[in-house]
Amino acid sequence: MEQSARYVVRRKERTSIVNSIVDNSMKYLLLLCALLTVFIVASIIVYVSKNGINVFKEITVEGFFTSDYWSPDEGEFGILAFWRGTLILTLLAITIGGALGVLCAIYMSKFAPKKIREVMKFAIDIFVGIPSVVYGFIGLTVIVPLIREVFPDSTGFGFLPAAIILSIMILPTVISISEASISSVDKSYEEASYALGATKVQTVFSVVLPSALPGIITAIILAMARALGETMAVQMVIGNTPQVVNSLLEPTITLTTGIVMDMGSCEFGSTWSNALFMMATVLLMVSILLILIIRLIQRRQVS
Amino acid sequence: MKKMKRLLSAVLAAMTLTVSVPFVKADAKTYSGTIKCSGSTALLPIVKQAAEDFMKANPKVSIQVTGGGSGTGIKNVQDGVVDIGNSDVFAPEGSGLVDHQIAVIPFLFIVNPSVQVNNLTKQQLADIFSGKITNWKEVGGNDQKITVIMRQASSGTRMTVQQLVMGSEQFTTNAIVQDSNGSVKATVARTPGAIGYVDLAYVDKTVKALKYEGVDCTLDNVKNGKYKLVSIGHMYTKGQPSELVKAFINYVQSSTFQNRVLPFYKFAPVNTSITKQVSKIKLTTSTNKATNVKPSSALRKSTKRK
Repeated sequence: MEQSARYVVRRKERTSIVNSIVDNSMKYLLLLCALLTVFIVASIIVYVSKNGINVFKEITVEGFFTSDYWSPDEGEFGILAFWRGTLILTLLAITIGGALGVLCAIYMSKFAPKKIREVMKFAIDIFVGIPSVVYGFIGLTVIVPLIREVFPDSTGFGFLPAAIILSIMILPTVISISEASISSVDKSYEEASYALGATKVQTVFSVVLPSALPGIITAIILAMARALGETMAVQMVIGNTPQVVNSLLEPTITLTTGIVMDMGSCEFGSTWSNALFMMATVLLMVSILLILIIRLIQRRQVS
Repeated sequence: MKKMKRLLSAVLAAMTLTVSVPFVKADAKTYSGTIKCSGSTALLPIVKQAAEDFMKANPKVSIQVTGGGSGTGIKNVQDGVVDIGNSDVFAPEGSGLVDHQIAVIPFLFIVNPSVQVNNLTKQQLADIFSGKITNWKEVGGNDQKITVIMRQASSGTRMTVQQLVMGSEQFTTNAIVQDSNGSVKATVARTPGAIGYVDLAYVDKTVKALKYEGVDCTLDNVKNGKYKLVSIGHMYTKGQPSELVKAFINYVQSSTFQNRVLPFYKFAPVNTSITKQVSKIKLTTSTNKATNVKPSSALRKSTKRK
């Protein structure tokens, strides 16, 4: 009797020890996974910017950002045409795709019958799954020749086809996030507006939309980050010429396409490759900035 | 499609070879070990083919072949990451790499089928690619705007065109830039009035091949020295190669491989008279500073430290 009681006690002790070991090791394993993620992100940022900064050993900071003279053979690395291209293209895509997407989201959440809304949601899910190279291919085979037909003097390559493709690509991001945000506006606001005698359109545009604004801005910024980083589809239709243009129909270049064109075949560690790393650093910093802005908006929303 | 065709002909070539040629074991020695190669995508198909043949003859040898581009190949072999760096441009001077030339790669100018011109001279091409001539009627064609399609600045073929055709002229900035032979061909095929340049293997019926200085780009014309537009395929090693690596390079340079396999890939055998004329084409790095300042660049803002 005594012995078996002692045994039970010992077994209980043992299981609790085993449990605590399992518990602790599990905890540390999970911690390790979390740390690894942070470590990977941090090391990417450090690696890219460390290589990028080396470009300033040979090139002036001011010259690098403000010169439009890009000629690696001559040792000239001015990226004005590149960042200007990214900026203009992103703004164009956001203007077209953002406006279209938000209007689409309003229709879906406030005007569409339930069945149509379901169909649209399904269509948007498919949208997300289309690989960017497919968009690029459609751009190259359909949109570029079409533009050439409408404007016979142009080559068909440039900002215009790239902006059309990009605005289609960012639609799902804009629509799904804005739709969620519009749908989650408190119904009592709408009812109060109707009670005051407002029409449906008045209610949607002056009551619901302003309340959903933080969510819509988040959608636009996320779409911007997507447009900023898109490479493949843009590369196929923009022409990839490092020149500053003032027309939507002349070939030009962006940061991402500039990097992808030469990264594989220029010598690693050369000023050229470092200049590409610096361009990547610029993209990275802008993306981080956009994410910080989203964080800020969300924090204000909570408080 | 074209790639499939090339692949098919490659397989056929390999099959005929295995049947008809008493293989590489000429010195009756069996090798073992691993060889790693990386670099030029243009050379990738022939290096892969050679690797397959060599491994078949020497079952204990494993050869890993990857692409990455000429710059990557040269960098990798310098760092000792690979045993052989494949490149279609010469390595920079002072790199200390040993050059083994393995193929002559002919390339040519192609135009959209809508263009009426059949032949262009060196001077005409330089004027078109520098942007001085912008309409086909100036070189005997119909009244049609010229659209220039180029490769990216780090492309080996582009460096060769600069050297052999452009001379001191600079490429125009008003051109569409594509990053592979395949996409240059596709863009030329779809753009009315377009001109570009690709390796011989990529030419098909969707584009029109131009004569250069009156000479057709064919393997025969390359071999007899009439056709001048070629780049050289190299295998670079860091110092003298090991016995195994040397045996592999010897196989690639053997007359069997040079005369029976290369033609399937539209490459010509290495021949010293051709290689001499292109021997000055170097991989451009920022270290070779240009001495002549072009008039256009004088107006622009330099990025360099004063």
